[in-house]
Amino acid sequence: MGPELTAAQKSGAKASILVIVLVLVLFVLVLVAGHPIMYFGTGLASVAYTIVVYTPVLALCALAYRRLR
Amino acid sequence: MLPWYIPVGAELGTIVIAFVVAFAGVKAYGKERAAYFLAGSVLWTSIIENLGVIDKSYTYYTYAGLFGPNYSGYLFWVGQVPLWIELGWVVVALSLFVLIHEVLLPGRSPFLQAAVAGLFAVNIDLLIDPVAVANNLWMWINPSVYMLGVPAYNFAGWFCLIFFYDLLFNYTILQNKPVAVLGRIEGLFLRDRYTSNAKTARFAFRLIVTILMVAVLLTIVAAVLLAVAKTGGVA
Repeated sequence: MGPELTAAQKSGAKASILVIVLVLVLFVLVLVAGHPIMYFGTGLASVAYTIVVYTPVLALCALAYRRLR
Repeated sequence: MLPWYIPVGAELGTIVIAFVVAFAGVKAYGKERAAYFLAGSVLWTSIIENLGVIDKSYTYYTYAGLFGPNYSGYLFWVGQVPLWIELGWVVVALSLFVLIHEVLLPGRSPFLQAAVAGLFAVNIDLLIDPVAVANNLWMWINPSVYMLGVPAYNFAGWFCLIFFYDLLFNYTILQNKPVAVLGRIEGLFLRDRYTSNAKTARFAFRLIVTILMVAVLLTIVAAVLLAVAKTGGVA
């Protein structure tokens, strides 16, 4: 582990987690409000793909959040 | 054509998120270093993205004419590329940089940090690009090996851009370190190489060198994939 983070660095890191979550939400909204099929041909496959693709990056955010608490 | 709120929402949404990431950068690294990151990354991605448009890899004029004959599809542009595309890249790059360098892998090898950032950027783009293509936010127009409706070299490009920009910012602005392979060349151009006075010149110099290197690297990858596509008939 590195040195202890300052309060400002912690709030910067929390804002970074928020940013990643907002990006993911934005593109899910585009998917839902626009053309929901993507490459796969069915909406169900698109939902499954989205869940699979989001899992690692959401795990990264969750781990970072846990370390910041 | 899809509803107007798709391109407008994507553009304005990304611009709003860019303000949040700027706040995150300022909090984590202070105003000066955050400004270096933002300016450098906008410049870097503007050049790479415009080269992609000039090279006819993709186009951003898919929603041109949406609000009238003179409307080019998005509100703000840098050359042939909408500003929100550059900002989207900045958003992913800076947020991952803060999390990986300060929270998840602090004090670890810079190459490991950059590689992990690159891999997670590809992870995020695995949704961004297929959704964007399905909704015509941009359109890939060149023959290549495609994955999920997107040329495979795009994902290599995301990794390379994040990986090299991470190293560039880390070595030049955060750590102010010499880079052996560039030392002699920098010595020719920069009198005072490793003091804070030369930081901007050194950052600009390394930025240009890295952009050229990445552009050449991606051109080679794209050419190889084009050859594979033509051979295998998958273009």
